[in-house]
Amino acid sequence: MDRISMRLAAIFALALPLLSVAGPDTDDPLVWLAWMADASHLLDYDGTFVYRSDGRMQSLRILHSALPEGERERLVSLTGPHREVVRDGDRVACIMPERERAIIRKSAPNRALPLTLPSDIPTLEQYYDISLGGTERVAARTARKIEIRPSDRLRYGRNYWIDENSGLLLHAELLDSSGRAIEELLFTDLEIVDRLPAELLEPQHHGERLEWQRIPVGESASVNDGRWRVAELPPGFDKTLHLHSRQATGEVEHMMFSDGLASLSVFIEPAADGDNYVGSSRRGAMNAEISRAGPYRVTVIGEVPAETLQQVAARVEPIDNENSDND
Amino acid sequence: MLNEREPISALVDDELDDSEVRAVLDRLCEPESLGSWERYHLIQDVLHNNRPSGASLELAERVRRAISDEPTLRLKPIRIVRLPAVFWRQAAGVAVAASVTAAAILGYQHFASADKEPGQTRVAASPQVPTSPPPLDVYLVNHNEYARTSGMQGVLPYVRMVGER
Repeated sequence: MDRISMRLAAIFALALPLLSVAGPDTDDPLVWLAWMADASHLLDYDGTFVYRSDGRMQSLRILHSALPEGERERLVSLTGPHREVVRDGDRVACIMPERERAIIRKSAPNRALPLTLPSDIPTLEQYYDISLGGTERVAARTARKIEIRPSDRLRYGRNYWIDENSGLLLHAELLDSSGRAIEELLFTDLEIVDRLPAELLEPQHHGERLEWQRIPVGESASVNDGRWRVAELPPGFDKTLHLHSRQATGEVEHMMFSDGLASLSVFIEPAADGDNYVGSSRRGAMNAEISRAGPYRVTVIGEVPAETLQQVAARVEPIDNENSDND
Repeated sequence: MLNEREPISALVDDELDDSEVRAVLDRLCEPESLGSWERYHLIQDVLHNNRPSGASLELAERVRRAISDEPTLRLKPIRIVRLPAVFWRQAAGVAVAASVTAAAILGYQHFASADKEPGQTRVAASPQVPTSPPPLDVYLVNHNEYARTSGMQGVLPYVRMVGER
């Protein structure tokens, strides 16, 4: 515990000088990770990166501005179909012109204070081996490598390369159990500025002739309030969120679980008539498992191996189920 | 559910609705709350790379005066609308069609397959897409929004959506 409090002190002490140009003067990889987690929210930057998964490569541009009123962000595909994700303070919109669709949602509340990491440290160290590697050059910058290896096959390993000058993530790999990169993100160009011009953050596509779909935001439920639970979670995962939203056809429950690094979501909703799909799908390292619990559809998605999702999906049950009372 | 300080930080971060703002502002009029109000603003300032100025330290006092001067004032968090109005207006139009929205969320698969015509070309043009996984965009957005705040990864959670062929 003492070690953790010392670690916390170090991380908090970092919070203020963090905005200056120097990187953390420490070999503690967790301090580097905390720095990285904050930097992406606190800086203005314009970068181009390559995203590789399933043998495909794509180039994207990210623009981010940390305005005092809230973050603005724009993510644009540079190759393949034109798509954009635009975040403006409390709203996020996904624009997919080639599908003639756009999705809009109120943003999840931003963290009041950026340093939410500390509570996750004990779990992190129990389920991941995290070590600081050497320096490498990425996007004409000097980056420090952080190696994260899971202690079991229920989560992915990661390599992060963090810019020594800004804390921004310059290169990331997600690794399967054999150490193969199933997903990779690599900046080729990154510019950090004091303030990004506002016009760069406006979408190129204004959404005309698109079918707009608004996602209602769920209301937070207390832990005992939900009607569903996961009777047994994979080790290290804890519930971080439990929401419901009432829809015309019934209630949708959304539970989120995290081991401090990876997170997965469980959605439970009444299945529509004729909706019998059961199976799995995958997008890069994001897996999805769709199953049924009686008349309900259970959708589990997350940045974890399919096996982990299957374990979770199999243990989703209604709370008023008398024969399996959890302690 | 919220602890003592959370509403204040939520207010600073512009997360509360009108009635909640009112309640927090009422509480802020209690002198002992002012300290944390100032602190949060200071932290926000520093984190956003603004030099903390004398002005920010007086903010709480100004807010308090504003409330006592104008008790009926409905103080709303200041929100600057920056995107072209036309952009968000189209989105707002959808809110009216609530039943459509519900259908879109709950019967998402049907919704998507009923609307197959434009999507079909996408599937045809993409040999990588397996037979027929249900569309997961809405789930992904919901997941990303919270994973983004609960996780500690600077990784860009929407990359998979934008990058998907």
